[in-house]
Amino acid sequence: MNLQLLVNLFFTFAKIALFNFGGGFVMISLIGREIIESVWLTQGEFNNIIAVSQMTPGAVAINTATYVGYKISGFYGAIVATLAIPIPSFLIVIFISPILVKYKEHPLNKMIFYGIRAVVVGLIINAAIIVANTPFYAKNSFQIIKFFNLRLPSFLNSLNMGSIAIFLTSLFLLLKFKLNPILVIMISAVLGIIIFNLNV
Amino acid sequence: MIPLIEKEVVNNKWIEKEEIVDIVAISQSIPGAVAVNMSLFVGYKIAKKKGAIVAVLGCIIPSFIIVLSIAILLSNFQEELVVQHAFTGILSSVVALIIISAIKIAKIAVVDLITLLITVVTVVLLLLTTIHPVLLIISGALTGLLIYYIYPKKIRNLLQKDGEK
Repeated sequence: MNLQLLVNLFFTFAKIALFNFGGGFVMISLIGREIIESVWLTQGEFNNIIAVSQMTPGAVAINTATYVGYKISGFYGAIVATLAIPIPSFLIVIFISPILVKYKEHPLNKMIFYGIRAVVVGLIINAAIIVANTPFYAKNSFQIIKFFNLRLPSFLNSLNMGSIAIFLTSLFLLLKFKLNPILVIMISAVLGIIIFNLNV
Repeated sequence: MIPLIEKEVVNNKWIEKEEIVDIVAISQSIPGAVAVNMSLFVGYKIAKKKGAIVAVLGCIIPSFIIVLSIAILLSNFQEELVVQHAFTGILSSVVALIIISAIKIAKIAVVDLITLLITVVTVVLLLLTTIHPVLLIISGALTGLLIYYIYPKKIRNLLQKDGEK
């Protein structure tokens, strides 16, 4: 057990929690940067963590913290990272929220969130791009380059059609049939196993 | 998860129905996981600091145990091809989930040209530079304040619209 690493882990996740406006997906943008800078996890491990955090019940932020903490520093890492998430919220709820409630209608308060919310949309779009990077460029027989010999720019040519098909199917199931996200994730796991096991 | 908390809290008569609406609203506006924030508010309301601590532990311990078990199990299987294929499929659909969430929040957040510009600038800076996202959030808050001082009239319109909702 490396004490300095645990302290570092705690403050990293407390900082993430303190600025985690707008839900679990914003956390992907926040965490991605911290992890790239600190070289704590590989991109592959980070992707597994995102997938598992979406599938498991409970708050995504907590799930992500537990998993990342475990990967970086084992059982104690998991505990420290998980506890770091609610502590800033605890302090805010007790000390700051009474002020926020009192000035709920104040224009300055509204304007702060006017700006933050617009940034949050950008952070979520960025999260989509970070997550898409791995499956959309997965190296297997469904890369466009293996099907056609076209003179496409390389970022198009190495796209994985299997992943894009699963992405579009999920989008369709979620928007058209309003299926439960967990169900859609399970369907896409099965689709992934079927499609990527084919050796075209 | 939020509707589940609302139901439990109201059924147990811990908090009035009207009050829970306020708690949901403020839990979404302060940073952190909404479910965690709600458990803190409800716990604090009922039994002050001790209540908040107990409620939040109740909220995180089940997730902690489940995720830890999966993390331990998965470290034995993650090299298997079947697992990797399943994960590639899952990540593809997570992209769809994230895009839908972005659209939902954009409907509330991107209300005019300025907010659209803030969103676009955020994405471009994140893709092209190594700027820290926390810095962008702080800049967003400051931009909001700046606009308040530049266009006080615009803000009056904006707040009026808010009141009508």
